[in-house]
Parts: sequence; C-alpha cells; structure tokens
Amino acid sequence: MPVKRLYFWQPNVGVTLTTQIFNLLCKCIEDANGIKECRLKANIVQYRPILKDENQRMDIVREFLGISFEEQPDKHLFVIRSHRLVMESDSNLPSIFDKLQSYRKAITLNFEGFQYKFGDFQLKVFKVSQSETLKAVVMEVEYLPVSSLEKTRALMDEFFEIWQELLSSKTPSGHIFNIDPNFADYHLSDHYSWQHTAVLYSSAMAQAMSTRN
Amino acid sequence: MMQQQPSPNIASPSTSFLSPRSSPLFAASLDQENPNTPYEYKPGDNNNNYVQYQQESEEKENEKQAPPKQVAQAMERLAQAGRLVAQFRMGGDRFTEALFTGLSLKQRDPDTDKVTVQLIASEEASMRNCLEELRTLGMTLEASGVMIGALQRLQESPSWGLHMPLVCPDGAVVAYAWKRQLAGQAAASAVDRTRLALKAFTDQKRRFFPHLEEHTLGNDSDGEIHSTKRPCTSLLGIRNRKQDIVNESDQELSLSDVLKCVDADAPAMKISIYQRLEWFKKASSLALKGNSFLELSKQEQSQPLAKLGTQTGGQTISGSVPLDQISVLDVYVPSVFRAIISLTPAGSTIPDAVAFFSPDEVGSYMHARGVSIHNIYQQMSKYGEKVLQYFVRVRPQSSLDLLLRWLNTYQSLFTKPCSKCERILAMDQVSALLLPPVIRPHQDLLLHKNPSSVLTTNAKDPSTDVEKAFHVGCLVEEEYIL
Repeated sequence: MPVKRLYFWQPNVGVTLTTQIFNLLCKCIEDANGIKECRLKANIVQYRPILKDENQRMDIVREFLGISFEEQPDKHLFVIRSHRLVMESDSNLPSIFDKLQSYRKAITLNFEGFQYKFGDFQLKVFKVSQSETLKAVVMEVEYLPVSSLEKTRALMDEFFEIWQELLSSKTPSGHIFNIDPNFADYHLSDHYSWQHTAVLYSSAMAQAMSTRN
Repeated sequence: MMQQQPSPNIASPSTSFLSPRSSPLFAASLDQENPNTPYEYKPGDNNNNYVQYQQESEEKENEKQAPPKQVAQAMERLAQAGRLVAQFRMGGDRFTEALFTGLSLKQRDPDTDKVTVQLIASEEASMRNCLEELRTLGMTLEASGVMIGALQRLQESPSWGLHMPLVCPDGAVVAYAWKRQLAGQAAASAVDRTRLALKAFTDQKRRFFPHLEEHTLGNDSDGEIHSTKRPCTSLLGIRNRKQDIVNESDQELSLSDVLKCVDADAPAMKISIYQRLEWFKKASSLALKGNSFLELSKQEQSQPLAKLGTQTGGQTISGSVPLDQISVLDVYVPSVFRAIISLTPAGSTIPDAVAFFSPDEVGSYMHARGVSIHNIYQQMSKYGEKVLQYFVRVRPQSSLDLLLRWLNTYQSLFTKPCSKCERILAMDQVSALLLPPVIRPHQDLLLHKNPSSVLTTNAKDPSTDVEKAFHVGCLVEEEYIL
C-alpha cells in the first residue's frame, strides 16, 4: 500500500479555526495543477465500554477507537492507544457492539473532504468536525509508487517542506505540522499498510481533541 | 612461333592473345643474360619501389627473355592490375566510411576536427597511391607491348559482341567464361570450388533449416547472412580511442555468465528469468487475482538463480527454464522498482526493450514495452529505452551486462539527491510534476575496466560512490548526450 503522511493545520494562538483554511488548502492544490477527483468521508468513533458490573472495570480497556473510510466499506480498523494495538476487523463489528450493548459511542469525529491527484501524489483534504463543530483541518498525502517508509522518508520530508513554504506564503494565521507517530511502538513494519493509516488517524484525532477551541 | 591465321569469326582461346602478327613479345630476341640480383622485399617498402624496380629490370630483360616468360610476366602484371583495381574499390569504401565516422564524431564532439581530417586525408592518400601504381603498371604493360593491337584485334575479329580475352580468376585465358562453366571447369581452383560449395550448403541450410539460422547471426564474416556492414578495423581504432573503451572487457559473455556475475556483485537486485509466454501468463493471473508480486513470492519461489550454476554443460537448468528459451528478465529491487527486460533472440545477451514499474504494481500491461501508471516510472522507462539503444549500438556483446549494471545504480532512486540542485524532489517544467532524480548517467559505465568493480563499490559503500543522479530538468545536455 502506498505510504501516507498526515499534515495537521495548527492555527496560531488566538486565531479561530474556520472553513476558510480548508478552502485555502483546496485552492492551493488546484492552483498547483492538482486534479480534483471525488468527495470523501470517513469517521473515527471513540468507544467506551458500557459497564454493567463494577468488577469488570479492572481488566478492560477504558477506550478504543474505531476508524472507517467510506471508500473502503469492507475495512474497519480498531486502535487501542493505551496498549499500542491496532487491528483490522470485519465491518459489521460495530453493529455487533450495538446489539451486545457492550460498548457505546462516546465521541464521533466526521471527516469530510476532497481527493486530488497531484502527479504521483494523492492528496486528501479533510474538515474534521464533531457534530457540526469544526475541530481541525487535515491533509493526507499519499505517494503512490512506493510502500516503503524508510525509502521515502527523505522524499516525503521534502514534500512537506514544499507545502509548508507554500502555505506560509499564502496565510500567516497558522502552519501545518507533520503527524509522525512512532510506528515501531505498534510493532508495525516498514511496509506501509492500513494499520499504519489507522495509527496516523488516531494520532490526528488525539491532536484534534487536545486543541479545544 | 607457329604462323596461324586467326579466324575471322571466332578467335580460338589460346592463340588470339598470342597471335604473332600483332604481339611484339615474339618479335623480341631470345638472348638471355644473367638474371639480376634478386629484389629483397623489406616490410616497410612502398609498392611503388617494387613496381619501379620491376619496370627497370624488365626493360633490360625484355629482349633477353623467352617469350613464354614474357607472357608469364605480362599475365602477372595483369593480375596485379586486377588486385590494384580491387584495392582501389575497397579504398573507396573506406573513404566513405571515414567520411561517415568523421561526421558522427563531429556531432558528438566538435573537437575532433583534426582527427577526422587526418583520417579522411589518409584514406584519400592511400587511394591516390593505388591509382598511381595502377598508372605505372599500365605504362609498364604498354611498354611491354601487351596493350598493342588489342583494339585492332577486337575490331578485326568481331566476336558477336563478346569481349576477349577474358582472364579468369584462376588465371586461365578464355574467350567465353560460360564455355568453361558449361564444361564444368568454372571453379577450377580449389579456393573457388570451396567457396561455391559453401555457398550451396548455406543456401540449402537456409531453405531446409530456418530455425538454425538465428545462431549464425554475427558469426558469418562473408556477409551473406549478416545484414549490417562491418566497418573496416582501422576506423574502429579511432572510435575506441575517442570513447576510451577498454577492449579487454569487450569479451562475449553468455547469458548465464552475465546473470551469475550480476547475482554475485549486486545481491540487492533480484533477477528472475522467464520464457516469454510464461511471463505474460504470470502477469495476467496476478492482475486477475489482485495479488501482488510480494504475496506471490511467499507462495511460490520464482526460479532462483543459484540453479544456473548447477548445469553441467547441458542446455537446461534442472526443472526450470531452459537457457536458450529465456526471453524475459524480471529485475526487482525491493521497495524501489521493478524492471522488465526482453531479450531477442531468446537465450542471447541482447536486450531489445526495458520498462520500469512500481514494485507493487500488478497488471497484464506489465511487460518490456508496457507503461507504468506512475509518472516516475514512465520517465525512467523513456530514458531507459534511450540508454538501451546506446549500449546495443556501442557495445553489443556486453549490452545486457551494462544495462543490468546501469539498473543497479537506481537503488538510490528515492534517497540520493540530485547532483546539481541537491534536492530529491523537483518540479519538472515540461510535465509539471514533482519527481525525484530519475536520470542516472550511463557513459561512465563504459570507462570501467572491470565490470564487476562498479557493482561492488555501490553495494558495499554507498557513501563513497561517485555515481551521479539528475532530475530531468537538471541534466546538462553537453555532458551527457546520447
């Protein structure tokens, strides 16, 4: 699977996040001859256990994240950040949770945006919102030809620098930074996979939740 | 000598030339003196000296020799004249070649003016020499009376439009060449007979055994099967000097030698061998299943190259692809690229196409003339075609070896910055794409004496290698033109 990186827009102190930055990002990509392809949706749900019995509290996880992408309906990923676990599951597992009444959806973040083709790169720009409140703007960058993280590290770093420069010249209200989780903690290999994506997005969510507007 | 009346219609073969009525040779006296001191041939002698000496000595001897000797001498001189004519024709050939070489050298490097002028001048001088010799020889022949009366003889004895006398390649003098052929005497000399026999044999072989013909490509110096003209060897010296190619590395290697060599020196590059149809089936089946080559390698092992070493002189490798049917090479550098090379004819070391793909790409379009869906590999494929044509043109015997060594330089495709702008990503103005440096210079590969030294240097110590990389837009045209 092609390698991906996630850029998180960090507004400066005192500046409120609006959809303006989302529009600006889209415009930048279009000006650079990126080709708009389609709309995208995804969501991350934070699950919390429904405790029926006091004794259960000790040995179960407090929370975990479930990630799904609209363009991959048969893929569902779960991340337990506290235990550094990530796994793929069947797509009907959330409905099983509902039926079993074992876990409830505590927080849901919706990702909405567009996909662009930019040479050998595929760019996705998302507005991250929690029940109509804009929480963050993120950009996913995918380099299609190669799947090795190590080999593409320098290349992706340079790409990030290019975009950082471009955006800082367009607007002074903030900057992008690269979300770079430590994949080794999750026992993930150099070959990029959906599990890596899940870890990326879970980090993004954590970042989004920590910046409270 | 006998008095013979030459017949008005037919001049008999043996006497028309020697007719006493018109040949002054027989009018000469028969006195003989002691033979002159023999002429010692020194290797550095110009032909002119020898001819001059002959001329002088013969003028003295003319009156002294018996007619048969004079005839023999005349025949010898005529033969020499024939040789000079042939030399002149070859000289014309070489002159044309010198012009073409000069032109191509000039296109490549404008500083070669002196060399080309020298070359052309030397060919012109040698042709002029030939003409001079021919002229001198002609004068000698005329002096000895060979030419006298030839025109009258021709006019006097109308011979139904056929010109006589005809001197055959083996020296016999006849009126009509076809007469000899009819009599079965046409190839009277052993050389001619052998040559005719060989021609008949090759014609038959070509008719009845067409599949054997491909093995004889390049081996036949006769030029019958070989369709391209081989340049004269003296001109090659100029080309080699100019490009600084070391001839000792230009030995002909077999396919298995090349693969073993590369396997040993570039362990990061994995080469798999296939028959042509086998490759297409594999590519299509993977595309249908949606697997990747990575998953496939876990399920089944592709032909490991170690098996190549176990063959004991037979054609086949144990249980896998026969050596003479290998036509597709799959060169895989993990996480960097996959290159497909096609060999024509099968089992040879002559590549005819190369294409690059992503290491994870699958599709039935993946073959040596296919196009990748990624821009970076498309650019590499375009450049690769040019480089391949260059190698095949300049060093055909080791073109596969050179190509594989050149592919090996791409291991650093995503990690080595451009030697000019020192960045990895750069915007290509033509295609408006951000691309890493996809150009790897290939001329340097030809300069190395030992082919394997380049590979070992790159594989073991990438920090000290001198290989350069360029973006398409950063390539300096004057330095690296094809």
